[in-house]
Amino acid sequence: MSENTTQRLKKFRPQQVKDVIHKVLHDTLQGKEYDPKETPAWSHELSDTIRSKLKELDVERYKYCVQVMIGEQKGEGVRFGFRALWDEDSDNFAQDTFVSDTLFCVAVVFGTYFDV
Amino acid sequence: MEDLHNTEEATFPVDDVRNVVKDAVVKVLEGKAYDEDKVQEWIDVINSNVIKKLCALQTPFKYISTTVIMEKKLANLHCSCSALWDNVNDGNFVFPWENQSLFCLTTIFGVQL
Repeated sequence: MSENTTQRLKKFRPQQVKDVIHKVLHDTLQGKEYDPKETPAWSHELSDTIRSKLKELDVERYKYCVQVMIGEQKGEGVRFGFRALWDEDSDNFAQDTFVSDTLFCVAVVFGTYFDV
Repeated sequence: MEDLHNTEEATFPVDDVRNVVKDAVVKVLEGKAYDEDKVQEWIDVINSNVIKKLCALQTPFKYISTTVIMEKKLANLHCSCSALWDNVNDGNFVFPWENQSLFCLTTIFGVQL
C-alpha cells in the first residue's frame, strides 16, 4: 500500500485527452460531407480510434468511456448534458466538437480511476 | 477493506438501471414539445434523477448518465460508444425515447469501483 501511495500516479488530464479527441475528429472528418449510409460507420470508427489512442497515453488505472455523436446540420436544436456519480478528485471528462457545413460531431471521454 | 473484496463479484445491474432511466425520462418528457429554453433544464433533471436513484441502490459502481435531446426536423443523429474497461462487470445501457416533437437518448455507463 505504501508503495502505491508514494509512487506518483499519472492522472487523467482533460487537456491532453481533448487534444487527442481533437486530432482524431479532424483527421477523420475533415472535408467530409454528411452521408446517411456512411456516417453510422464513422461514429463507430471515431469512438474506437479515440479509445485506442487513449490506450497509447499509458495512463494506468483509468477506465475510459467514449461517446461519439454525429448529426446532420439541418438547423435542428440539439442539447447534450451529463451528470456523474464518481470521485471528483480523480475522475474527469474531456470533450471536443467538430462542425462543418453538413455535419456536426461531439465526442466526450469519461475517465474513471479504479483501484487494483 | 473486506467489504470491497466481497462486492467484487457485482455486475452492472442492468434491470434496475433500465427501470430508473425509463421512469426518469418518461416523467420529464411525456407530452412535452421541443422548447429551446427548457431543454437544458430537462436534461439536468433527467440526469440528476437517474444519478440520485442509482446512488440509492448502493451498488459498488461509479455511474455516468448522459442525455441528448434533439428536435425532430428530419435530421439524423448517430451515436456510438466505446469503452476501455472490465468487460465482464462494467456495463452500459442505452435508452432511446421519442414523441412527435423530440428525440431523447439517455446512456448510462456503470464502472465498478
